[in-house]
Amino acid sequence: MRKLIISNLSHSFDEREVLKSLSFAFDGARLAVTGPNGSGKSTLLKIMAGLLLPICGEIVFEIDGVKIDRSYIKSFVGLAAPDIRLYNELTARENLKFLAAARGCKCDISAVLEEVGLLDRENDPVGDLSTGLQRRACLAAALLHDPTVLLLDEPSTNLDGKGRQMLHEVIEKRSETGIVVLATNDPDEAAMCDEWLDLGACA
Amino acid sequence: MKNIKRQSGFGNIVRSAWAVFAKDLICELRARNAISAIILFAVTSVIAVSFTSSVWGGDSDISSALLWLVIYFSAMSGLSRSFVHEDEASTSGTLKLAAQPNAVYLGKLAFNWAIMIAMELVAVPLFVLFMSCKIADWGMFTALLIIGGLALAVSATMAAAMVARAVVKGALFAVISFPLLIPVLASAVHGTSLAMSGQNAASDLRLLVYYSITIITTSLILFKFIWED
Repeated sequence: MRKLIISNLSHSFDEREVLKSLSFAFDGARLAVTGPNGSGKSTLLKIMAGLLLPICGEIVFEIDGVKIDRSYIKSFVGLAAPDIRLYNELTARENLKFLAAARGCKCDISAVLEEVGLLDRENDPVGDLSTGLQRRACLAAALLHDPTVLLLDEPSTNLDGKGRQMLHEVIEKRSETGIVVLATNDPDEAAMCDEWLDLGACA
Repeated sequence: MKNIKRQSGFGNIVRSAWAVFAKDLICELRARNAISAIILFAVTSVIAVSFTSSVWGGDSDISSALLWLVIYFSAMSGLSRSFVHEDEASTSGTLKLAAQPNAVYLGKLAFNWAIMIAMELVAVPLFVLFMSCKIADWGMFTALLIIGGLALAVSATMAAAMVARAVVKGALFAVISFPLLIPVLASAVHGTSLAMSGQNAASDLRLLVYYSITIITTSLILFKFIWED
């Protein structure tokens, strides 16, 4: 049993209201968040990840009847988003090693790099990787601590065919026991999900 | 799926802070975002000061004031980068997700202190040499430089975190830092002058230690609210 409950959630940047009294309940493994640019998809994912505090309202994740405590939310979520980047000066492996040490967890870095197809480029500085490979590295960072909730913001952007295939496999695998939330405007990706939350319709 | 709860014990915060420090150090050694500017500024100022003011090298009051001016302005030219660079490179989100706020503060503080010591290792011997300074108490002089550097770093780290969100970062950093650092500069200049002339500077050193402890404690309480949105 996996649940996501959004209650009366609002957020704004200065005067601009991005999310307005959003309420939504989801019971499943894969949720697509859709909507036009500026409708608040990325903001919603950042609030879910604990990176932004909403002005009001709350988001609750429930796995097998156990609520995830918001004060520990960053331990349970993995977020891959275009504006959350790794350190260009470090290699992909060094980045993951740093993130594992910062989180205080013993993670299988090689397994994660292999999962995203980056094992053969693990010793290249992230700044030297192509944009698509950088997206894979960011995905690896989101998967590193084996999160219960995986949040992916426009995950297939800049990915080639193989990359998209890898991404679909990751989504399949992670949604077997956890929740995957995809912010996307790609109909193929949205079609993989159990339910859609259209922020354009909510506005 | 297994969950790894974020550990919040002191040992885990220290290990996490060490990871942040090591990461910053490796990135700095590879990209040289701050250290080049700081050392260049320090060396240039020491040389400029020595050309015009070397006649006062024997006056401990003037020498210590000039020395700390060089250290202060060199520090201001680079320490603000610690958080600004994270925002500019879009890595602050990664750091926020991975490390607890206190671990980030302590890691950044350790990195800024290391930068201060590196700058002092270059600038102070040059200053002493070019200004022909006479140091009567080398032990106290060195201790004041190390602890004074820490006191500058603790305030600069907190100020850097605050200004990272602002639009006019450079100017704001100087404005916020200056009032915070007046007690540090006053004690450091006075203590260094006493150490140069062979008098007891223990009270100034103690004040710098107490100041650093106070600001670190306050920062550990407040940093979470500055760092997290």
